[in-house]
Amino acid sequence: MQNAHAGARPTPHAQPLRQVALEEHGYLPGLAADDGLIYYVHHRACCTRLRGPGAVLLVGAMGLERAHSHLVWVRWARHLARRGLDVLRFDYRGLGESTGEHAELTLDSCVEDVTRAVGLLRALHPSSPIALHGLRGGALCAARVFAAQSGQSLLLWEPPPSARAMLLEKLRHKLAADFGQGTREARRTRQDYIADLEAGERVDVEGYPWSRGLWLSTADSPLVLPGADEPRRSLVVHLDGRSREGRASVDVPRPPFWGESRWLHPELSALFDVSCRFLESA
Amino acid sequence: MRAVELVDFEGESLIGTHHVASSERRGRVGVLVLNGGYAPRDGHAGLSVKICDALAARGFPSFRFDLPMLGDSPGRPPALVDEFYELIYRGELCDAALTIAREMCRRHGLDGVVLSGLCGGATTAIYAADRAPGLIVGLALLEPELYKATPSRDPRRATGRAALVQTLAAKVFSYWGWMRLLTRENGMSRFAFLPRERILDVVLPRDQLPKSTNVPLVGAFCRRVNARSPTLVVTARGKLHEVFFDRITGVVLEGGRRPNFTHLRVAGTNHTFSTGSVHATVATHVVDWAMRAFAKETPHGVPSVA
Repeated sequence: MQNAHAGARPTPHAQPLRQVALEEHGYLPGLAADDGLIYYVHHRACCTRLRGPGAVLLVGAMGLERAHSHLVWVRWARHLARRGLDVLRFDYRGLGESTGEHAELTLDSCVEDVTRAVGLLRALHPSSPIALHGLRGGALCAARVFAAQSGQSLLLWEPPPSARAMLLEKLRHKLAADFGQGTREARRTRQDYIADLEAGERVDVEGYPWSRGLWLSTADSPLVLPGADEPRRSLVVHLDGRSREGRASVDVPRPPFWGESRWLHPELSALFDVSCRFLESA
Repeated sequence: MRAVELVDFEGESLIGTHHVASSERRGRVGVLVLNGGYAPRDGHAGLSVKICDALAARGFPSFRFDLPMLGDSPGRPPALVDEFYELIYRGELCDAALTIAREMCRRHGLDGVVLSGLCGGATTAIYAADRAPGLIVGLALLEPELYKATPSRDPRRATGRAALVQTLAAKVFSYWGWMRLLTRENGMSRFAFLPRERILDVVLPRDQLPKSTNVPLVGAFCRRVNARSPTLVVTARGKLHEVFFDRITGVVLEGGRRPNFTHLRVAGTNHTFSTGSVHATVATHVVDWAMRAFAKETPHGVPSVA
């Protein structure tokens, strides 16, 4: 069996493990020797397509949203592969199957990981257009990488207005959990946690240690959407069914699949159809 | 050091991660951590990764696998979480867990495997250990669910405001809604100033099995404990699963004291150990227990069956 050992520093582009049907699992090294390894899954296209991008990079959600959305994310990757698109998905270093400490994860390290994954996909598809598709926090990262002229099209599912807004929302959930579940003796405010982060203390949020580096990296982190003069195509899809100018919107079962949903296999055909149409026409 | 492992099961490949033991020589006992509920194999906030890293550092080859329909492994899950747990309650992922355990023994020269898992993973681990006691040499159970929670309202039946009303009604009029309230697992708990312990003693008497007890599962658990198989249980202090675990084992194990059975309680956290910064504590509990139970001195100083 071919095997990529996380400590064995595999070469960047030639480390598929044993092929599972049409999926390959491997580790991609970071830029520096001690940077940790990025776990990836390559879903090979099941058929040949005549038009549209040859490959899609899926840039997943962060923190607990990654765990909640995982089943849908894998299902979406397989759906695209069946439609003839080559798909790569990966975990940020410090999260999921990638190595590294979450306490060292920052918005910049996530963007760097997206760039590394684009490089792998580009090596696999040197002459095909590549689409970037981000979910939630991953949408923020995908948009930043797209703005740096990587990728030929951009699809975003429910992007937060900014990374800082996303972290503040998580802190609000933490306050509710700590207080409601009685897991802290002393009641604290969001400002207390922010002060801790700014002072360099680690704050545990939904089980993940946040660092000062993560907090500061989101200080100026708005969603970067392509301008009107951008020739490359992009689409933002909101999943609450509310219409917004210039953006698509579909209604998905509530709570949404990246939260504490009661759905493992929610009905998402409308979302998948809208997204496939965009990817295939991009 | 980690490596991806694949195991064939019913014509598909299940995906897992091997945390290679730090010892140069192979250990004789490995640890297989199953999916916690429907979470991917890294566990809630990476808890399974931390446990496996800690075990591997002490010489235990450790594995995390995605069972069928979960994580990166193939298979279509049921539409609803409640439907998934019906499968778990019946032990339907047990064959896959045993196939993985057998294959890890064969591939890595192990004498046996300790099965571990949180919540639904613990359920599968118990059933599997009962089915193959020679293969499964111990259990490290996190927040085991020895009862069956009644499926809640099917969200397909209502949308919008009707769904909201049904959700609120389910919290107010549901047995499980009240149990979560009493054990502070419900977001509304903060507003309920109740004599929780006294109410729990009334609704869950300590001298009888709760009606929701998963009897086949409890039978399997008792057989393993009474057969002196090393068993660790870690629970979140005062939470729903611990309350039921105490009531059930208080009856079936008559106090629960057995030299091979260790029950540790972690304070200030929740069911998935994702609050209170307790991951290191949980991982330490598992490693310390594994060292006591399985790290019998061997010529090369690696874990063996005690």
